[in-house]
Amino acid sequence: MTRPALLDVKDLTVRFRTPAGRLTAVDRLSFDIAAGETLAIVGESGCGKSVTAMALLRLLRSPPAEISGSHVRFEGADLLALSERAMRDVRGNRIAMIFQDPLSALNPVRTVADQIIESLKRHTGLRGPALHRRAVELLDLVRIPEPQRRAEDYPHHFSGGMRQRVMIAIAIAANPRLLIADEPTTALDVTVQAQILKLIVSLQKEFGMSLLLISHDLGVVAETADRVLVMYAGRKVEERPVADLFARPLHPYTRALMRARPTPGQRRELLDEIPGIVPSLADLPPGCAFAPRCAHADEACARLQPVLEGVGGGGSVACLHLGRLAGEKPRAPILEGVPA
Amino acid sequence: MSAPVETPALEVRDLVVSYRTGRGPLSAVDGVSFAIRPGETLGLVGESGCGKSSLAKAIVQLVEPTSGALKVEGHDITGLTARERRALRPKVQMVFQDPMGALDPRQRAGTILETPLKLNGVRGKAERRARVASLMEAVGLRPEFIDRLPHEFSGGQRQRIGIARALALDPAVIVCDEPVSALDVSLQAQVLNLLRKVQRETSVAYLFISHDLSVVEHIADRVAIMYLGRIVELAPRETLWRAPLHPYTRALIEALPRMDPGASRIADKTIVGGDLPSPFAPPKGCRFHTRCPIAVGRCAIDAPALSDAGDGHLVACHLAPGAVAAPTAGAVLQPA
Repeated sequence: MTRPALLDVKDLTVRFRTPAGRLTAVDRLSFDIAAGETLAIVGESGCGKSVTAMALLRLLRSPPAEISGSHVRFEGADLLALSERAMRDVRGNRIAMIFQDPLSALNPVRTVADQIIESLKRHTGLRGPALHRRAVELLDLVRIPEPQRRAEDYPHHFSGGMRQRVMIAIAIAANPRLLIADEPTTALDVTVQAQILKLIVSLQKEFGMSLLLISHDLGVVAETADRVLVMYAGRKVEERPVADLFARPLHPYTRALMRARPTPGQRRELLDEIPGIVPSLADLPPGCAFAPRCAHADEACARLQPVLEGVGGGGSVACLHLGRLAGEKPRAPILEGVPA
Repeated sequence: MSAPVETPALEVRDLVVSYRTGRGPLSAVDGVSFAIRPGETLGLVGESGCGKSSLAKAIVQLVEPTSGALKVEGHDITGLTARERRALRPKVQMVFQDPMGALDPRQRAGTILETPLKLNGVRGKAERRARVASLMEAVGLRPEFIDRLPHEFSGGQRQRIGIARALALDPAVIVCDEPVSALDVSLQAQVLNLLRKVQRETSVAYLFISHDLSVVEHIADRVAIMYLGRIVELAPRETLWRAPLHPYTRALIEALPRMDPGASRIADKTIVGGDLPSPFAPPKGCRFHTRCPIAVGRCAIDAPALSDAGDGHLVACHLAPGAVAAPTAGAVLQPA
């Protein structure tokens, strides 16, 4: 990366104490995000993507969570070392977050104007009537029709898509440098999902924010991210610029994920299944966590944990057989035949 | 499909499902007609509030249709007595979105699968045991899982139990209501493949309901698009994908996220605006006209009928090229 990183995460590890033992939900994860850039973290349930987001903002209760790492550097400070008081000035102010379910993130008994004003009061110098004016402006900015009138409505008066717009208005109220969006459109219908993603991306440009997008949906990631980090069982298995990843995925897990999804316009009789299930974090195999489900795995994969190797374009992949996989041609083009 | 005149596995004609609610009457399904052949999959796509779940519930007799006909293998179930209806009930089964919620947490897998057999007159215990074993094998569950409780299975395995239970009584139709929406991608593929394999072996018909057009495009032979209680387009899978005629279908296809960052980025897309209007007060005329990018004056006044644009491609749009007005009910009900 030529641009200086806004967020620089090095060896972030999150463990949970549970009755079943100590689980490593995030295992020595490193990544960075430049100013204005979009990084997507993609993976299936339990891969550690949401825990990563929560850990960055130190939103995990400890115990049971134990967060460690070399550093999480943001705007020159190490978020892991900040006092709780200093952290409160980062949260919602310099780094804002939106969640999958806006209804449970909003206060049901206060108007949306009140909730935006609360954020403005806490994080900006605005006072008096300017607060309400700005709240209405923000609702307009997130394209809520008739913002003046809707400002006095309560969350339950809004549809799911409109509630997510309200959440976004609250999130950008303080003009944050980084927006973390954790599955922001997963609960929404297809057309509304596209509206919200388009809105997030356009606000990102307008405000010059960086975006950390957490998603399970490779399609959403492909259309939104600049770079993509693929996680499996708490570890990074591949990180690539978005065009490289989808043109030529290298890690067997990334490839398998892409081939397991139906590709519209190019029907296959059967999808390529990924056999088995995600391993329990309490009982990870000693070697590569994906080895038991991997078509390329051999005896070494079961024993040795692969390290991340650079693959050009700023990408990296953790697979013992990277040399062989990078050399072979992809089995079949997976992206052709999609009408424009 | 080869057979020229076949009794459809399921035929739905002018079906209306209305509810009386505290906010006034609600027409969730407003005159829907289609037929599904044995061994065929009809995909039904629509966003929340379009009425697809009410339609599913009416088909499996969980709600009473307000009017219209429902025929299972040629037998109209709407005119029957409760007793007669019960006899036809095994013919229509359902697979639910949330397999955990659809399975009794205190029943073991074997009991879950044996119960429908018991209730429907399979008397011999040995016979039931054998049937349960063959059902488990058909959906890829190991025989030793028979004594497990639902929480001891993974999400994908639970959905397999749901599918096995639906198959227990040799149904003509299975209504699959978002069967993979709650599953991770790697498990979705397993369940979609299983559904296809089961259909090949049993010729069961599927009504496959989903909000995800890419999943439907994979599994369905024909696809119906629903908007605010009505079918706005119905076409063979390939035709619908390559040459959609209804502006709403086009909007859904455009909104679908694609794994092709070179060609498809959200910032460059034209996304249909607005929210779904309230189903309590659907717009007059074409129900999509309030969001339609090409609507003209007429669209706000006349409701377009579902018309045949050729080759079994039905569309309800005044502006669709080639759509012939006023189809007979027969044209709707007799797929090519």
